[in-house]
Amino acid sequence: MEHTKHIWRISLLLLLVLIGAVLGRHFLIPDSFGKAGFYRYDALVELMGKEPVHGAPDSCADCHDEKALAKAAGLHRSVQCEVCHDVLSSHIRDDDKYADMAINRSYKLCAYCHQKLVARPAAMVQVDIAEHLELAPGDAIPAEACLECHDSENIHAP
Amino acid sequence: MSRDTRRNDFTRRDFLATAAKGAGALGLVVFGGGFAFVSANTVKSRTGETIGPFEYDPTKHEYLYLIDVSKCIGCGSCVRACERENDVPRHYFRTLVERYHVSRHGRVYADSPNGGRDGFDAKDIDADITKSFFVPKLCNHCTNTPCAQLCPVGASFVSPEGLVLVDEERCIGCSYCVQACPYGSRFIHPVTHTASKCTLCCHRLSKGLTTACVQNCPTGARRLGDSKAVGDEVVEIIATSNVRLLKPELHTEPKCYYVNCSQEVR
Amino acid sequence: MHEQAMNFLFPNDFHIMWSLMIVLYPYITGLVAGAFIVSSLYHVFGRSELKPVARLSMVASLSFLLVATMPLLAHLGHPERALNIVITPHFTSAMSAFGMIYGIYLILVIVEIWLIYRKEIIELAMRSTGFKRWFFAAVALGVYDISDESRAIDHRIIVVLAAVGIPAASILHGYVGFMFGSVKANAFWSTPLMPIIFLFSAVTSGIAMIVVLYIILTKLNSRQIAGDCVQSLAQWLWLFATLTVTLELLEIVSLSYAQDEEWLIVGPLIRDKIAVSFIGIQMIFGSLIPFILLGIVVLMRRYLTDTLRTVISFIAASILLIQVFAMRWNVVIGGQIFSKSGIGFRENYVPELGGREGVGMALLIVTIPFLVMLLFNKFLPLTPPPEGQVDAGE
Repeated sequence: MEHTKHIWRISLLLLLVLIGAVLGRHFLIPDSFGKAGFYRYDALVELMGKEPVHGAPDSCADCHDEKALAKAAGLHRSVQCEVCHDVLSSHIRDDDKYADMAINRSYKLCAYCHQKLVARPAAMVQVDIAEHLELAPGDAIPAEACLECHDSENIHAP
Repeated sequence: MSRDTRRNDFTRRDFLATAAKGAGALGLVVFGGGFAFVSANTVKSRTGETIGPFEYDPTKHEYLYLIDVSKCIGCGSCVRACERENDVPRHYFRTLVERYHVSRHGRVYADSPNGGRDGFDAKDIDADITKSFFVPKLCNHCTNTPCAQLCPVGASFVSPEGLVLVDEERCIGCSYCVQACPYGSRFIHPVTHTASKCTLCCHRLSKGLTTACVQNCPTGARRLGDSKAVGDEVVEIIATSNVRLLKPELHTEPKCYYVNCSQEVR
Repeated sequence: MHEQAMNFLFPNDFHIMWSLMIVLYPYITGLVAGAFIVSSLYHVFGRSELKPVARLSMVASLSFLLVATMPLLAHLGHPERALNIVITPHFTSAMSAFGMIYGIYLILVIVEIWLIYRKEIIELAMRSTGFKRWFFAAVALGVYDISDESRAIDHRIIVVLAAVGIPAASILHGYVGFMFGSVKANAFWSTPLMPIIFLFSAVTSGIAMIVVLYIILTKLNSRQIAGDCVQSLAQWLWLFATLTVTLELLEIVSLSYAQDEEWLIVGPLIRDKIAVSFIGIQMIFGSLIPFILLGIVVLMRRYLTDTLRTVISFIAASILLIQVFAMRWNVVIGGQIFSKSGIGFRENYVPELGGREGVGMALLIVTIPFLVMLLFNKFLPLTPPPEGQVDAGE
C-alpha cells in the first residue's frame, strides 16, 4: 500500500520494543523462581536454613543437671530456662560455652508473671508486689526485691 | 518421657524437638530433590545416641496453632522470645499479647502496651469490669490469604506446609500486604524496608524444634499442631472443642484457633 | 449492649503506610485518564466544538502519564526493585497489572500523539538544521510523507487509537480504584463501587484540568477563547461531577443505611476524623458549589455572556480539581486513620514538608508535567493551527 511507510516503521519499532522487553524480562527472572509456586524457591531455603537462637527444650540439662532436676520437681517446671535466663546461643557455640549466661535479678522479671492483675486467670499465683512488700504509697520497689527472700534455690525448686 | 506427663502442652513436635537436642548448631545446607531439606549434621539425642541426618519435608506438614485464652497469664514471654529469636525491631511485633477488660454493659477496654513485651501494669478502669483476659496474637497463616494474594511481585508467598512467608530480596516495600492483612500481623521493617511478619519460626520447624513462642509459653496457652501428623493432640482438640477464628466473616481461613475466647476479641 | 469502645489500635497499626504519595498517584492517573477522554470526545464522538482542546488534552495526558510512576517510586521501600513488578508480575494482585496497563497505555498515547503531530514534526525537521533536524527526522522515523493520502490513513488510525484508548484509560483508572476496593480488610475501601467512583472522578478531574489549562493558555497567548468549547466542556464537567458525587454519596449512604459492622468504624471516621476534608472540602465546598456554578452555566446559557460563562466555568473547574484531590485524600488517608482492630483511630496524618514522601516532593512531581508541556509547546503547538490550514490528520 502506498503512503503507509511510516506506519510500517512504527510497527517495526514497537515490535522491537516488545521483543526487547520479553527477552529482558526472561533474563531477569531469578533461577529458582516458580519452582514450587509463584515465588523464589531459594527464599524458602534461606528462611528454613536460618540458625535457631533459642535451644531445644531442656538443652540446659546437659551441663546443669542438678538445677534441671530441681526445677523439674518444682512449681516452675513448665517454665523454660530461657524465659528467665538469656537464650542458649548467647552462651553456647559449637557445643561449648563461649560466654557467661546473663542473669536477670530484677523484680520485674518475676512481675511479668506474678504481679497481681485482674486479667490474669485466678489460679495463677499472683501478688500485688508493693502490698506484699508492705511499701508506703509512692515508694519505689527495690530492684532485686523478690530475690531478697526468694533466693535462687527457692526459685528453681519452690 | 516423663516430660510429656508433666507438661500438658507437649505435642508430638515437642517430643521430636527434645530428641533433636543441640539442633541449634545444625546447618541446613543440603537441599535434596523435591521439597526435602536434609540437614548435613547428625544430632545427639538426650541419652547420647546419634539421630539423623534429620530430614524435613515441607509437604509432609501442615501446621495449626491453638491458643487457649483461659491459660494466658499475660507474662509476655512469647513476645520477648519472638523478639530474640527473630531479631524483631523494637515497637513492631510478630507476635503480641492483648488485654481486654469488658464492662457489664459490654463496653470493651482493650490495650496492648508495647505488644505486651514489657508485661502489663494494673489498670484502673472506672467501670464495672465483669470479665477480663489476655489474648495472644500472631500471624494466622491464612489458607485463603489476602496478603500473599495481592503481593504484586510474588515476594509474599505460601510455603508447601502452608506458612505465609516473605522473600526479603524481592519485596519492593509497597506495603500493600500490610494494608491487606486484617489482623495487623505485618509491618514494614524499619531497617530493611521490606514487609516482615511471623514465619512460625520455620527455621526451627525445619530442624524439628517448635516455635520460640510455643516453647517459651510457661502455661501452655500456645500450642502447635500438625494436621498431617497422626494422632496430633492439637488437631484433636480443634476437631472436638468449641473453637473460634478471628474475623471469620472475611473467609481468610486462618490456621490459628482460639479456645475459651470471648466474642469481644477483634 | 454495644457501647462505643475505648480507642484501641493493633500494636503494628500505629503508622500510616500509604502517605501523600499514594494520594498523589491516583490523582495523577486520574488526570491522565480524564484528559484522554476529552480528546476522545473529539476524535471518536465527533464533538467538533472540542477541537481547540483536542491536542492539548492528549499532550497533557502524556505529560502526567510520564510522572505517574514517580510518586510510587518515592513511596516504595525499595525503588530499585520496582521492575520486579514487570519481571515477575503476580497476577492475583491488582497492583501487578500496573506494569502492563501502564506500558500499553503509554505506547498508545505516544503513538496517537505522534500521528497527530506527524505533519508538524516533518515540517519542523525540514525547517531546521544540525542536531535539531537530525532529532526531528529521527522522531519522524525518517518518513517525510505528508500527502493527503497518508494523513487520511493517520486519521483513521487516530480514531481507532482514540477509541481503544477509552477502555484503556478506563482500565488504567478502574484498576487503581480496584486496588483499594479489593482490600477486604479495610471497611472504608472494600466496596465494588470503588473502581467506578475512581473512574468518574478521574474523568471529572481530567475535564476540569483541561478547562483550567485551556483558559490559562489562551489568555497567555492573548488569543480568543472559544466560547463553544468552554461551554461544551462545562456541560460534560457538570455531568461527570454530578455522577461522581452521586456515587461518592451512595457509598456512604449504603454503608450507613445497612448499619453493617463497617459503619461502627466508618461512621465515627466521617463524623469526627475526616469531617473537615470529607464533609467540608469534598462535599460542600468541592461538590455543592461547582454543581451550582456549572448548573448556572448549563441552564442559563442564553442569559450569560461568553466571558461570564468562562469565568464561572474556570472557578468551578478549579474547585473540582480540589474536590477530586480531597476525595483521593479522604479515601487513601481516611482509610488508614482507623486501625484494623475496628475500635481505634491513629493520630491524624500530616505530611512532612521535606523528605521522600513530603509536600516538597509532591509539588515537584506535579510541576514536571507543566514543564514537559512548556517544552513540548516550544516545538509543537498545543493549540491547533489557525483556521484555514485544516489538516486532514485531525
